[in-house]
Amino acid sequence: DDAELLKARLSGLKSFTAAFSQTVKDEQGTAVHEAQGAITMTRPNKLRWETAMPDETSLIADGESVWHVDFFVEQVTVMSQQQAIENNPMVLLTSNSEAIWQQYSITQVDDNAFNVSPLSGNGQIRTLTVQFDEAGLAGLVMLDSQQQQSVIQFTGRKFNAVISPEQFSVAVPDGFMLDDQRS
Amino acid sequence: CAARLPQPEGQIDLPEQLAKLRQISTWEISGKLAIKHPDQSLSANLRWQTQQPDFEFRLSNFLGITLVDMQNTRDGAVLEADGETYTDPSASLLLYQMTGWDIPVNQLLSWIKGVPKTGDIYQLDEHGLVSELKPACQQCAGWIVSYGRYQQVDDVWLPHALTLTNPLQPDHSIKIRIYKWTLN
Repeated sequence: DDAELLKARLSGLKSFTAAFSQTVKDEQGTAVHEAQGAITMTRPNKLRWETAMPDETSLIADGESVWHVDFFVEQVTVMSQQQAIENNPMVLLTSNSEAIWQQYSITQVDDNAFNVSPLSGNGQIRTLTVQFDEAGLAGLVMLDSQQQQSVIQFTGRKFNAVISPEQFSVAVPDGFMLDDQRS
Repeated sequence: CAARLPQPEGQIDLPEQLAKLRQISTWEISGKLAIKHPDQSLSANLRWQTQQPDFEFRLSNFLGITLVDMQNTRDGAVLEADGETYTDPSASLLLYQMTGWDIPVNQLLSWIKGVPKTGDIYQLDEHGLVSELKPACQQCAGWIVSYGRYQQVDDVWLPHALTLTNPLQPDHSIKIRIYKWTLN
């Protein structure tokens, strides 16, 4: 079924690094926000998502916790990864867990794209579209309940390169507030 | 990094600038908004479209997912969240009831351009642009607005950074960074 096809497309992916450009469009298609940054991911369960433009913010999932470093308010928020990934289809990019995959409906929409939606119908992301090209993972589109679309294109992609563990460790910048939401 | 945008030089003719700004009732800003508390701060991407008095005030997270989408018309504010629709005559009150975020949205509508109203006390920077505003209206409840990063948009100078502080709530402040102004 389509889930197995998506799993197969992702199975060869041990690690992934790329630059991204992001355009957020509202339901009329007008641009709401534009950003650029970089993504680093190792399967399973590790992800670093860093925006550089127009402002600095980074999200690091280290396998146990998810750290959000917000330079605008000088705060680091940390929550358990379990809590953070609830109903978030992005988790399928890094998770091999059968139990997690079964929480999502997956449909192949064309040769190179799959739509992923939480079966529970909850969560901020209604549908995540995972896009591939002949080289591999190529882009993501997140659709939310207001029909706002966050379109992400990857460039300068590297597949299965060696990733240093440093990429997923977080030092709280001095002077930043730590908001620890782990139960 | 981004080239330094031209800064105001010399003295700006404030009355003329304010007269032009008062004409502008249709504008759009995209930027970032933060609410700072001692225990927990929040920041979100802001998109604010206005055709006064109507406006749409949308906050999204850095992944591009909507956190709050509020519409305001003469008949009051409407906010959609998790498939439910909520209304209140005051946008500020509705936002506070729904999210706990205390943002004086209605008053901010007139402060955002840096245009003082009669009775407001304000200070000017070295170029003659409003650097700080102490609004006089009753519901303004002690807010102080400071302005920065003035840049020219069409033929007016507009602030691209605002900070709202309130002596009545010393540990609560609001920071707004505007990346782009679009006028009518």
